[in-house]
Amino acid sequence: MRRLRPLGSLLVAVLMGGTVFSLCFWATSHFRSAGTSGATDELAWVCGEFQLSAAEADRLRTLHNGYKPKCEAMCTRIAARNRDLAGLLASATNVSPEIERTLGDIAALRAECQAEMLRHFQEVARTLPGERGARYLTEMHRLTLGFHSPAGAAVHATVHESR
Amino acid sequence: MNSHDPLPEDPQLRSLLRGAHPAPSLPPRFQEGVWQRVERSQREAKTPFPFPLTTWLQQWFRPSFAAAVIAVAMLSGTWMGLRHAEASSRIAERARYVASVDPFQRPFP
Repeated sequence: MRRLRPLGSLLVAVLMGGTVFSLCFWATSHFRSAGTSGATDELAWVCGEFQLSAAEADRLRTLHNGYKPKCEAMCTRIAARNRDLAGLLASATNVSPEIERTLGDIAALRAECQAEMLRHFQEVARTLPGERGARYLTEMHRLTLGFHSPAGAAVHATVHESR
Repeated sequence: MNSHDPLPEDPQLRSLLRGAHPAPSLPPRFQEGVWQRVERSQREAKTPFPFPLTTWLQQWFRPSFAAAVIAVAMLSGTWMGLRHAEASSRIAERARYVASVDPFQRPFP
């Protein structure tokens, strides 16, 4: 019995510690997330990540609100072309010229959207002084141009090393 | 020796008195039994609610060690929970911003 005492103590310590740790971890992360999930400001991440001052946040908000209608219009066009493609694919048994043309339209639309988006990013980056502008551009290129994939990451590295 | 020794200093008288009052022989494991009873009575006095779990925990686990384990687990659990919530919140905010500027990262109806 006495020989088992350290083993029993260790077992109780692990069980008790694990239970208390799990409860505290769950309660804190749950209540903290519940407290912040109501935030709907689209610019919250940029303001926090790039430590924008009130004036910089206002400038960013003006630029963002100016860009948003263009983005919404592009979304509507993309959704319409995607619906066309889905309709063609539903009844197709081979890749018809019409499907090819729709795919080409979607690709052109994607290029147009990305060019417009990059112009917006460069405009925002110009309002952020110092290295924050460059860091914002790098981060947005990584997040929006498919640089998450290994092949994309290599392109991303080449683009930013050549600067 | 005890300074309050009730026996006289004369060795002859001392041996005579010892012989007149022979020490009774103790039962086997008498001392161990006494200590066990003392320990049991102390344990019972400390346990206001003698539930089996409480008794078991007291028997196997020192209170100071238990308090330390609970304190460390609470602090580390709370700290890790906060870190986790902040990281999740940042990821969600970043996704919201990216979806607001990139039409190809929005869910289509």
